[in-house]
Amino acid sequence: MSHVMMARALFGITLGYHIAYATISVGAPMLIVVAEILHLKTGQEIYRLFAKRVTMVLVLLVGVGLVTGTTVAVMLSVLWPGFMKTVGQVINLPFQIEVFAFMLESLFLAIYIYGGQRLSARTRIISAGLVSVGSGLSALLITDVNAFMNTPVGFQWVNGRVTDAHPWQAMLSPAMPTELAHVLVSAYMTVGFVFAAIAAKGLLKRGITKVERDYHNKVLRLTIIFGGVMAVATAVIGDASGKFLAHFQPEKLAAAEGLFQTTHHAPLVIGGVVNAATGKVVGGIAIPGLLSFLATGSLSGQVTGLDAFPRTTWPPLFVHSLFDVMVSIGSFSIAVAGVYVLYLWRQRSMPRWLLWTIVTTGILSMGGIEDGWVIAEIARQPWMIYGYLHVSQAVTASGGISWMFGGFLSLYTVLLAGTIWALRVYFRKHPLPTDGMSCSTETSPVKKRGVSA
Amino acid sequence: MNIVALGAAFIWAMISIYTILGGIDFGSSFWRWYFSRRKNWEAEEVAHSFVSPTWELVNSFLVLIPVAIVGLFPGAAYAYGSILLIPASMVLGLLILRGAYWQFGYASEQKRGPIIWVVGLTGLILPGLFATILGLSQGGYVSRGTQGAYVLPLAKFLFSPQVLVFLAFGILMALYLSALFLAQYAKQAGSLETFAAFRRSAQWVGPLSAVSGILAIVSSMHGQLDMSHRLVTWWPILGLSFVMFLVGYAGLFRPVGMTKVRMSLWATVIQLVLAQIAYGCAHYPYVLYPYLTFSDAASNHSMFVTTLVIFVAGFALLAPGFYLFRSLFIKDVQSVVSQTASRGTVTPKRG
Repeated sequence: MSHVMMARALFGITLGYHIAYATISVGAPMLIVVAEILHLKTGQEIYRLFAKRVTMVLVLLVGVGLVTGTTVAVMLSVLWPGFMKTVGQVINLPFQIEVFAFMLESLFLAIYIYGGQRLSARTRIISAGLVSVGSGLSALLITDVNAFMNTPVGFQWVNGRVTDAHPWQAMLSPAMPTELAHVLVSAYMTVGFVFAAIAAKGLLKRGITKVERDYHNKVLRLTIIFGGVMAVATAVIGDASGKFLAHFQPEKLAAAEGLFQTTHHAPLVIGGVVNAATGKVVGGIAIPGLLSFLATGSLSGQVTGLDAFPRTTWPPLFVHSLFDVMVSIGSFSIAVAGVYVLYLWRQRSMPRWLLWTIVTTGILSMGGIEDGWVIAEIARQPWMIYGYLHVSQAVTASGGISWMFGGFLSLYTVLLAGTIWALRVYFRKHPLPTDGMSCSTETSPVKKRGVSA
Repeated sequence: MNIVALGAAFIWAMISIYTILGGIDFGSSFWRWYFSRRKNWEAEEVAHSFVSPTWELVNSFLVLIPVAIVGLFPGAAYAYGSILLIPASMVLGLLILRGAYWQFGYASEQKRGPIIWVVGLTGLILPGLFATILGLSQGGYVSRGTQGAYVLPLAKFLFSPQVLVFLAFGILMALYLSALFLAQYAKQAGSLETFAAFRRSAQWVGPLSAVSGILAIVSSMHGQLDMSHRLVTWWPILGLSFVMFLVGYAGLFRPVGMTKVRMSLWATVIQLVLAQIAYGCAHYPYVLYPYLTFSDAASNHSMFVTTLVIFVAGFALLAPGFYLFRSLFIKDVQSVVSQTASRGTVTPKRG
């Protein structure tokens, strides 16, 4: 592999690993807030118990996510010094504010956990709410830098140098509204489905007690409705993103949809393999006019194809397949949530196949997040800052990246195994209370002291 | 004072704060390991209960530094970013191991042994590695290749005697500071025996840290910024710093019941801050001698000013949160330590 490819691979695995942790750290506090509010409104201890168990997951993941996030921050400077030199002149504000957002998150996470039962329900909701605000802002601010990379504004580019910089303007780039909203709601959606999958798995276990069944059923109802609502929101915002791309980054949309010729009445091709040599999508179902409709709001609207751009700036065309996978996962999740609500409405007990499908959806939705980020990054190639800076211009001159790749890959593998081990051990040692919902975990000193952020 | 100097002072202040917070944090995890080997469980517990709630916040200070450098001095971020690929990756690897193992420790008490030593060992090495960057910044290691790219011959850097002195200094300084902090911490929790254990540790690390510090500033390499001569200009600050060390260290030799360890701790913090002020002034205006000065590396005016404003506003907004955190967490410590004490200090079992 070339030097640039190796650097991209190293940064890619680092981000891919970090994103999984970050997504849960963004979504879980929101679930805790919802559960705490339901506990306050209904007085049912089940919701408080659920909030506590989510908190434990969050504590484990935030710590690991923090160090992988630190890695991303430092790697940006050491792998892509050319990028950070430019960033430092224009779009560093989101990075700076993000550190404070993270401080807000970890401060109030510590207060929420340390306070525990000593805090009133209202204070707990406020603390968890601030954790949620902090983690949500962190995600939005980091994504904002990515939005700038897609649609850079707020500076002049003279002979490869930044002049006339307007840092605040750069933060409000055209890609910002849709991209940020899409990232946030898709994180909420994913966390909803991941915890729904855990609850469904609990219900699938043979010989569970009535108390356990009751707990898992309530948790499943809460998480899947939360995830389903967010999935619909993700789709609506995704549609807005398509219109945005058609206007601001047409080659990204053209590559994602496999559209070679600029045309009116552009068809939407679902599935199929893009062949760059022939300029056609092999296989796949074409729906006439639908792409024009999605991109412009009119069946006869003109959509720019890849032919409008020099071949050297085409992104790799396999993003079409990745894009189809992402959209399918999103649609599938909405359908699963819909079927679940239908069963709930008709007051039927959940069939085992549906529970298994929910378990699968939890895994798929995390895959969808990773897939979405891969599309976002690959489809911008060869640009790092769209229209200004190539990835190959920003990479470090230092060698030895392949060794680092091996080292970090093994490190991440150990961490992933460690995380799974830690979660399994913790929940094996802290099973659901069997004698009603008395929150018996609260009296255990391990729980009170051991958990901290 | 022009605005570039203000920005440089700001970065240096952040580094000073991190030196103190990070030193206490990393050192504490080493002391936890040390006292668990000696089966002093109460001392281990005191060290543990400090690192628990704070390490994430301390780590976020660490992130602030590169972020602030990129915002204020992108040229410096570029220069250091180009040469530190491998060293920074090693540091990251250690930080990742430390953070992750610490979190895994929440899940199970059975694997405590490996967790304590991984966190302790990484906590021991990391401050030393950070300190070596000072040696690097004084020049003599980095050269410029063709097309002006910065090059760092890694073997020359890692095995240079001067870098090893900086490494030792970073480690010893963190150990001294954290031993003082934990002594004060144990005393506050009302545990005199543990206090005495940490005081003993501080008594033998103290002189070593001072000697290594003096060696680090007088050591010099060919082609380097001549720090020992440049520091002469700032002798009053440096002298006061040394006096502060003596005050803090002497305070450790009063009888156990009468030791004012809080005074020793603060004297040592002041000693470090003064030494850093003198060092920073002597180092100015170079970011990376002899290639880069702060004004060469500075960002454009609007980014520079906005960055400073954001940092001030950020700290101001979070101040009440920090205050609340501190009051909650001090209370918690007292209950934690008394809990451990009431269950007997010799049993390794913790609740």
